[in-house]
Amino acid sequence: LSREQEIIAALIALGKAKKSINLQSLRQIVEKISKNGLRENWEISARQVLRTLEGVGLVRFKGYEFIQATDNLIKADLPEEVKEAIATGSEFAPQVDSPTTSPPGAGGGAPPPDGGGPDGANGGDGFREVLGHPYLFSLPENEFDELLDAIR
Amino acid sequence: MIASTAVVYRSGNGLALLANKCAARTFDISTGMVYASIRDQIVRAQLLIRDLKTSDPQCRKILIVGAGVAGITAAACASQFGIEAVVLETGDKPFQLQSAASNRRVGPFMYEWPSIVSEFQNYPNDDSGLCEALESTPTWTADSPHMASDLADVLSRWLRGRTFQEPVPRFFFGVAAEVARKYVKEFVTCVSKQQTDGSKDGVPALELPADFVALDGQRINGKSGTYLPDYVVLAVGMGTERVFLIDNEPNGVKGVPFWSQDDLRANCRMDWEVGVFGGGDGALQDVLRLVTKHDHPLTFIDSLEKGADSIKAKLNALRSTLEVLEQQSRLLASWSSGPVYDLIDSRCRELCKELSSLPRVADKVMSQMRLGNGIVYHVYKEGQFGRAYLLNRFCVHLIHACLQEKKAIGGKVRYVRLSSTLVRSASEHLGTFKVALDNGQILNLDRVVVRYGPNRDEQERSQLVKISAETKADRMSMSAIPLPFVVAR
Repeated sequence: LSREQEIIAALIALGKAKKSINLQSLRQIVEKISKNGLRENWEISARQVLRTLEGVGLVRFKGYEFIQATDNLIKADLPEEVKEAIATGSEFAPQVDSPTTSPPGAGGGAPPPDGGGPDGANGGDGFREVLGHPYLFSLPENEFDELLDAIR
Repeated sequence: MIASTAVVYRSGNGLALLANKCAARTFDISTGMVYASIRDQIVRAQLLIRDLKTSDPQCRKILIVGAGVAGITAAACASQFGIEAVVLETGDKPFQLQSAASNRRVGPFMYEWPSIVSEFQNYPNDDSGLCEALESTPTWTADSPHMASDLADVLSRWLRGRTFQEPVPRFFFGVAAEVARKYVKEFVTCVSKQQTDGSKDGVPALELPADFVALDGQRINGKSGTYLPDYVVLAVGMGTERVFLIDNEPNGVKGVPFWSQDDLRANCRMDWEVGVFGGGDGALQDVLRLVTKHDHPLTFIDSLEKGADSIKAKLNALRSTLEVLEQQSRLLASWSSGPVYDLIDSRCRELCKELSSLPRVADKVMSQMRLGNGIVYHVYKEGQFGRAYLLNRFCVHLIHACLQEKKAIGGKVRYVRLSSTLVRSASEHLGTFKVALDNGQILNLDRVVVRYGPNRDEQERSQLVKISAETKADRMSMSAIPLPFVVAR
């Protein structure tokens, strides 16, 4: 199994067993099934895989730590494109190659599967919209120009 | 303190993004910050990148302007979180600001005094039991506070010796300031237009510099391609430092900037008459460097306790009171506007006064004063001790209280406070400065130290609640919210 497949296998195993899923419980399972041992940055890979699965509605985040695998995932019904994306290590999500095609806040990115959830933790559109907003939490133009003048 | 080796999933809550946003998809992590120590710069940069990754997982590329502590940390952290980073820096090497100061010491936890944490000189300090730090955290070890220039060397070695995981950040040194200024302006204009007008105009890509200095110091000349960031991070310093003695006289008398080399501790003796102007941390540190034998306030405190168990016990007894006062002030500052530190300052003065009445304490403090016939005039507005850290204000108040107690201290530098007065005029003639104060006093000085801090207009300006071009702007400060010591994995 690839490292990503190990994480998915652990998710499915925990889901089938109706066990609580978080990064720690995932890690414990992966440690059991991994032949190569965990990489130092295992959590980052795990988060990427979870985001990928979240993007297509196969897992949901509950609060900051807990993850819920949907029935579809537990049945190991993974779409091919997800498998492919995970196999190449890239995130599967509706592509936003550049701000040119879909700026944050302008509809880019998959909505959370349950239509809500804490934005800060789960990458919701709310935060992206605020970050791209020209006035909210932004300096007036003249003050921003002064800030740029400080680049010397 | 939490001792933990277990991996815990910690994600951002987005606060760092709102606290540091300054324009559309642009953050400023340096200017006008209340917490601005080297450790704070590291933590602020890490929190921003972590929160960016959490709140916008689609972020793949960032542009960082500035290769000081904050900019370099942001780049390292971006790599850890799988975000590509390009760093533009006008200087020829990283950590340039600190590298110029070989006579100013810095420690990672110095401002946590009187907490026991202040004794740790390593960062992030695995032995402290605080937590396991993010892998990308700049690290250093030391027995005592580092000279700033030495720390810059240590951090440069850390950076050059680091094996980044993909995507490896790219560093461009020696870049013309105009390149960064022009691009960031275009980026923000374009992103803002998309948001307000629904403009479909694409954000322009940055033409990466063809002529630049690489991280290893080699000058490179060749096409570097283009780069289209999702976000911009400005890490260009604290803002313009006010070094002119009279603000509206930019051609008048001026002091040496905080991070530049000065000669205040060039000799063991101090026989000059020196004016220190300002009441913030920079001013208090320089008062201490001038009047004591010590380069750093922590070593001054250590010297008081060394070989004097009764003084050590007395200071230890005060620690918990001081710690609570400091904590209360910092937390109150997060939730209030205007001055809040006057409460802790007046209590701190009272405690110092009580301490100075003990002959043993006063004698020990006097023994740590610098030899010489010099006088340090400290000119500041009453109440201007503003946000100065407890460590600095405690040391200066204690010295002042002991000097008042002892009256005569032959052969030692004197410290004279001139509060509640302002500078009326100042001039320089053949290396001597004549400074007239509002109270009618004339000072003839061999050196002037101007520590007015960053431009007032640049303080706490990065948070502005304003919904549209027409809305009245309401300012609020998230820069006063205390930062953690270390960003935990």
